[in-house]
Amino acid sequence: MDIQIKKGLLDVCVLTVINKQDSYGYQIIKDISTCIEISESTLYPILKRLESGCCLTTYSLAHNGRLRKYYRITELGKQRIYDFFEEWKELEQIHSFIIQEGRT
Amino acid sequence: MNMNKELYLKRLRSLIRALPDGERRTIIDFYREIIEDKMESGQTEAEAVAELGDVHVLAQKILAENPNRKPHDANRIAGIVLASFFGVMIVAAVVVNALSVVNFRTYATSTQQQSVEQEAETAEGRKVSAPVTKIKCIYVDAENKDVEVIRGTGNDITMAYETDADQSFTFTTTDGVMKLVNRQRFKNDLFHFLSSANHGHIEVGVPEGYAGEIYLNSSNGMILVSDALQVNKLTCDTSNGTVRLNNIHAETVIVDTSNAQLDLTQVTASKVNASSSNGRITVKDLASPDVNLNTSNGSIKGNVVGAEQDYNIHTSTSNGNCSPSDHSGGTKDLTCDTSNGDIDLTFSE
Repeated sequence: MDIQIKKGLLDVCVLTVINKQDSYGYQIIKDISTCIEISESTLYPILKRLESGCCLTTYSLAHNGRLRKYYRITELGKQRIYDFFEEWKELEQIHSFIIQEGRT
Repeated sequence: MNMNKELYLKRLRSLIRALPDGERRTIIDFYREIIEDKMESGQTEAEAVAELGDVHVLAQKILAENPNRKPHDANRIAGIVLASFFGVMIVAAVVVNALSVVNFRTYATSTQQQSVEQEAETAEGRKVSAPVTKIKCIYVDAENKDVEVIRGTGNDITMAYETDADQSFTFTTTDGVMKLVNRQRFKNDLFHFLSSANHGHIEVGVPEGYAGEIYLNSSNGMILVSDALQVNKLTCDTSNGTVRLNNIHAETVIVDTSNAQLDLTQVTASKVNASSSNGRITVKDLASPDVNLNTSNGSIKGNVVGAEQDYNIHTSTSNGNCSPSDHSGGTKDLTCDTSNGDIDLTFSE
């Protein structure tokens, strides 16, 4: 898949996962991996970008004698997911245009 | 090659040393947590580490993604200070200077890329603005400066600040996020305390009708917010500075400080969360159905709007007096926790 498209999709995938419930790095990777391949080194910049874009906030919780960093979606993050659905409608129109015009 | 966790992380830390210390720590913590979580879910240490791949490849990838190399000017200024201290190190300063020019070029290109989508007109240094209709989130990371949010006029959100040779401000507006980040250029300065004594402030003007989010962040500065009336979410985070809110209507208010006091006057919100580690929390006419006040070594004092019986009250202090007492059966929640201070809250209609 085109790298730019994948990048944009992964942002929304991460937001969708933490929209369900607050989550941490490894769990996010596991959740997303069922649908699209993502490595740790891909996830880190996504989380950072989403945080600096105010789409998520972070907090740490003690877990087995260490700290685990959790990611929580913000209202702005939820808005991003919503925007994605809106954009997707446009993409579908383009898609059906390409299919139709391609046939003739 | 089999490498254990600590060795892998140590190598990684050293390979990404061009990054600022804070960023480097966050990155190492992130990978450490991943490795530990993998081990906890049944992998061996060697497997968990091996899955991250060759440490040099990972380091290259991290560096390629990260435009925030250590500030170039710090090298140059450090060079000059050294030269004047030791006199004879001019040659070294020239070398450092030459390096910093190279650094500067790469840095400049990456900043330009970031600001491509910038919608607002940026005046030189002192005052930047963006139309209120385009912005969903205001974000200020002030480092050592005070931040003051006031009611602005007109249709633009404005940010005004004093420029200063040892501060570097980055302003961007991307995807509806208006963001101003300040970085102290000269972090390891011996005279840091002298220079930060006169630390100036950032003034943010928010016109009526702004209904987005506001995030304010400062390490050593105060955060003052007044007359923010329809904000969705207001978050204030500071390590050593006081947070003072006055006349705020927001959906959610979150304030957090480590070593300073929190003052909330006439704050109305669906949810209020205020926490301090070592400072006192004072509220005046706080109106919210969901209040959480939390400090370790300070007192919690003031008044809450409403009738006491409407609240589920949970208060706890280890070494202080406590009023009101716990109460349940209400429709609103009030939680106050402190370890070493008094809790003294009253209710007013």
